[in-house]
Amino acid sequence: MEPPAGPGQADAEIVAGLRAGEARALTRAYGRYRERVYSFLLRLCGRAADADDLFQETFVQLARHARRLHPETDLRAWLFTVARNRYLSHRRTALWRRLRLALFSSEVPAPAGHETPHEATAFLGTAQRLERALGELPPPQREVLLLVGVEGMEQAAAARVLGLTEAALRQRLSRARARLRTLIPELVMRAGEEGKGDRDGT
Amino acid sequence: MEPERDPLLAALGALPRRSPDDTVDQATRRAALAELEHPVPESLLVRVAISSALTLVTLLYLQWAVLAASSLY
Repeated sequence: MEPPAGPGQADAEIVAGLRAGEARALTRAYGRYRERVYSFLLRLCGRAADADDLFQETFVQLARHARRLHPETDLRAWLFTVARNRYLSHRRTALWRRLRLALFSSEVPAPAGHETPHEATAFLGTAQRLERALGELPPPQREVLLLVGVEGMEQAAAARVLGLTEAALRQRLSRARARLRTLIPELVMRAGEEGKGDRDGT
Repeated sequence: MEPERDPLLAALGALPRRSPDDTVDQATRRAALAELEHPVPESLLVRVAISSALTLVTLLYLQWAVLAASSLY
């Protein structure tokens, strides 16, 4: 049987090892996806402390479900789905916490990813501008760009992770790209207004 | 336009990957390996939760019974 696009032979071996409860397979999965999952969570959350917790929960979840994984599991999609679900759950809790604070206090903390104003950033280069612009996108648009753009995930796999049809994913991706394009020129203009740091840093 | 050829997506793909710091890294490895090697059966968790709830209810009932009995005298 032809394996699904994405996981590849190495992932198939890892999944087989995980199903057998092999620690070596878990170590391989961790080594292979550690940075990718962490980068995804960090950019999604905008806060390292939150990303740290969700990252740990994701891999513990993998270990917990290792023996119950389907042999055909697309490991990458599985991990990103779990990471995203953890993030959504965390965001719901955070929203509820902010709502309670808003009800009982006049001071409302800034949402994740917007904890620093744009003027605090030096805008040293394209990567920084992109990171900043990603942080300004609404989460649904951010996550589709993180999966398809940053992670390079195939659209079909990204649609599975996000629980969307491929058509809906394409539509969301198109909107996200358009929004990002509108944000980046603004950021470039801001950088230009605020100093010469942009070119010096690149 | 093919998404792969979009320069914006290409720039996103070139963003650097981030790593968790060493403390988080080690803690995650340890926690995941411990979970794999010593899984806690979900049925056990359910049993623990149910017995905890029953114990709590029993204690509350006993407390109420003691208070009710002491109020009689």
